[in-house]
Amino acid sequence: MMTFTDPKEWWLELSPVVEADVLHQSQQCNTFHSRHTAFLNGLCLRTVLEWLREDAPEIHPSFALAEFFSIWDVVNGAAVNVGSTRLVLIPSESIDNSELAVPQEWVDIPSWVGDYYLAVQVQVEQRWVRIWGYTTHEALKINARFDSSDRTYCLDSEQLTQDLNAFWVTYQLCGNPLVQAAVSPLPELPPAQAESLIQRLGNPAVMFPRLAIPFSLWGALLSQADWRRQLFQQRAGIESNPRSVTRLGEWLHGSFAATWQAIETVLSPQQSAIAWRNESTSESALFTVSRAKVLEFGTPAEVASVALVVRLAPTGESRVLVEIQVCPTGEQIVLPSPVQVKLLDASGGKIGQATATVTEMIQMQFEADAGEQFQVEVRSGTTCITENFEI
Amino acid sequence: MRPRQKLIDLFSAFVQFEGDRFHGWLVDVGLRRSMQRLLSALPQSTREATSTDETFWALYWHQHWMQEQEGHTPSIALGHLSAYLQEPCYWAADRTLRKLRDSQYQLSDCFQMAIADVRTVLKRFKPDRGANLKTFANIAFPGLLTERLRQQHEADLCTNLGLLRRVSKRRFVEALRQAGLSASAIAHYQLAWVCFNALYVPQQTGTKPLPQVNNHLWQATTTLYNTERRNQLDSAIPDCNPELMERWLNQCAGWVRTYLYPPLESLNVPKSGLESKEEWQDDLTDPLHESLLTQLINQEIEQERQVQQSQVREAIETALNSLDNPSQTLLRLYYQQGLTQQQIMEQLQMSQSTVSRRLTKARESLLMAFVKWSQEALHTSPTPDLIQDMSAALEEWLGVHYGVLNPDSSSETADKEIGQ
Repeated sequence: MMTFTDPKEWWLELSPVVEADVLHQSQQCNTFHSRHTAFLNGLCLRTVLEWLREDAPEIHPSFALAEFFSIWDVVNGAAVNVGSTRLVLIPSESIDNSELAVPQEWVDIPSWVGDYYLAVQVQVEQRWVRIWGYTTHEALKINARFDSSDRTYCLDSEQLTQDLNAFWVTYQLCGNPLVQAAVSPLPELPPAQAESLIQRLGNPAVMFPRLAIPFSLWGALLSQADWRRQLFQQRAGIESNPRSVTRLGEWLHGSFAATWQAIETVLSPQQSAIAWRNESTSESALFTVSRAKVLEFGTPAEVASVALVVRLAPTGESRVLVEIQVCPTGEQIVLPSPVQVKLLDASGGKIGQATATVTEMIQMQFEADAGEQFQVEVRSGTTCITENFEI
Repeated sequence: MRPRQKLIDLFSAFVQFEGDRFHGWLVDVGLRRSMQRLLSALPQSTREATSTDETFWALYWHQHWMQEQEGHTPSIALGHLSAYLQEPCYWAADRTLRKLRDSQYQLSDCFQMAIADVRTVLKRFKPDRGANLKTFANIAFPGLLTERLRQQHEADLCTNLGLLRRVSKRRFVEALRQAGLSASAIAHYQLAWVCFNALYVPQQTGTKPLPQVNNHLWQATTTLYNTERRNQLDSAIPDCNPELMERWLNQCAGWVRTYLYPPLESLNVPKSGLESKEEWQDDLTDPLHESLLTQLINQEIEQERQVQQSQVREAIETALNSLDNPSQTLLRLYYQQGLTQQQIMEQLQMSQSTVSRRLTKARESLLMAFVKWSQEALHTSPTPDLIQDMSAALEEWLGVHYGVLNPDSSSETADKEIGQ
């Protein structure tokens, strides 16, 4: 293996413990892309903190660690503060260290702006991280090329200082030289407009929300911690958004959301037969309404999907028998393994649970009253999808 | 390898390999003629003063090269400098090749990779600091070569599509430009590339490789591309489809690999690092010529800088001796013996991260001591620029001090001295 260390660089080894931890935390992000971004940035941030802590114990991340995930869901880059100096870390997996591309957020949002910007190369398989160059905010504003296709300030490697010894000595001896260029303040965003933007960008199908609206609006949105968090939660479909609850009561009146389809559309005749097989003929008449939703697991390249089937049978004035089934879709006969299904009440307490390794389906039944809320959590591999319901 | 002695050869001859061994020097007639003409155009006294002074001519050609516009035809200055730097290149290749445990590369391959970085070396060289181009090159080339080897190695481990995830935007665009694509075509391919990278994400369980590429992926990429295209580019071009998308991205992957990591061929031609068919752009009528010569001749007589240089050398030596022993050992192992991190690890029984950290900190302490000395002795106040310059000067000093630069004498004796 060819690791030739250059004493002018910072070469940091990745700890497997930190790696596992960051991997786990990065799952909270909303797209495969943003999970990977969170993974790289988390690794970078934690490793650099550890390295610098030995020389500068007062170092701390510029935002709370938890906050960072709402940032990484939408943009690359991390930041630490040493005293009053802010270092912005820009990780990249590229093999050729030919440039530093800093997202506009880190250069033009006044509360985010840093003093120094460090180019970090991340090599996950070989377990190291390497800081090979740096520049200042001023240099970025004056010399960098702004690429509007991805809103980054780009400096070629030749324009960076590829000497971290010089960086640290400069930091120690030069106090805090003024390396920040002036940044115009962002316009005030009225809360109503922020709300509407969050709704619009809160759809995780919008892959690049940061490019979907003008930067003046986007920057203003991201600079408020509350709005950042709301956007993150919106994209995660977390229960703070009433729209993510499926109202089963409406099903009884024949009204269904588009993602809940007729059983025949989602399951093949073979699978429907298997699904029905588990019910005696007398009981099957009880269920007046059934719908299915496809839940996607895996990555876009290796898709694994399951069908979540919900059946309702009214048993009284306001009482309903609910049956939940999780079964395979498409050409699959068995569930992608392993699958775990949890039934939770409105406050997240566990009512029921079933785990399957290789099986045809999972099934749960319970009775509930009108107005009651519950959640179904389906977990496969590292992905967990939660569906919220209200009778 | 037999180093050159005569001035004109130094600026006009190139290494020739046969098999994998040094075979001889091949003179480029255009370059030789250029040097001969320049020398004969000088007044007698100047000619005598400079005809054995390679440092003078190296600086002259470097100044010339710096002041030129970037053109397509390689300038004659670059030709002379590439010739001049053949020995540093050769030694860098030789030294580096020995460090590689098992390698598919031959000496001539490494040499070819090293000389490809000649422009980078020239750009980084700062003559006003009183530095010597050959010394600088002797230190700069190995670092650049090892970096190039590392990149090549990592690229070899990637599949073509995997490589697309590991290339910077800058090189991606350059690769497509070199393949002859128009700016608008590049914009479309770039968007496709961005969409692909957003979806073709590794599964991070342990060291699992990238997932299988399949139709679903192309479908997803196409859908994303078609959506984004309407927002980001002008939608005059029709929607893409999965088959086309697959073709586009495979093409891009091919162009990137060809541009960045071309397959090496061991050829038996002058390794000037430049396309061998091109004619040197001759420029004797160049107005820079006269003024440059006078300027340099004056600089040569400057004594002050010489005195300062020896003060600096002493100061760094003192700083080095004031470091603790483990730090000094690490620096010696790295700079003098040129060991890799792994070799140092084994020798000192330390973990790789410990070696790396201590080595960095050792050099940092040295730099700090050097800067502080200049504050007290020369009354310079440390600015970011000055500290960077001093670090570069330090690098040169370390190269000289640890005897990296004895390659012009027989390499075997140099090794014997170093290997104690």
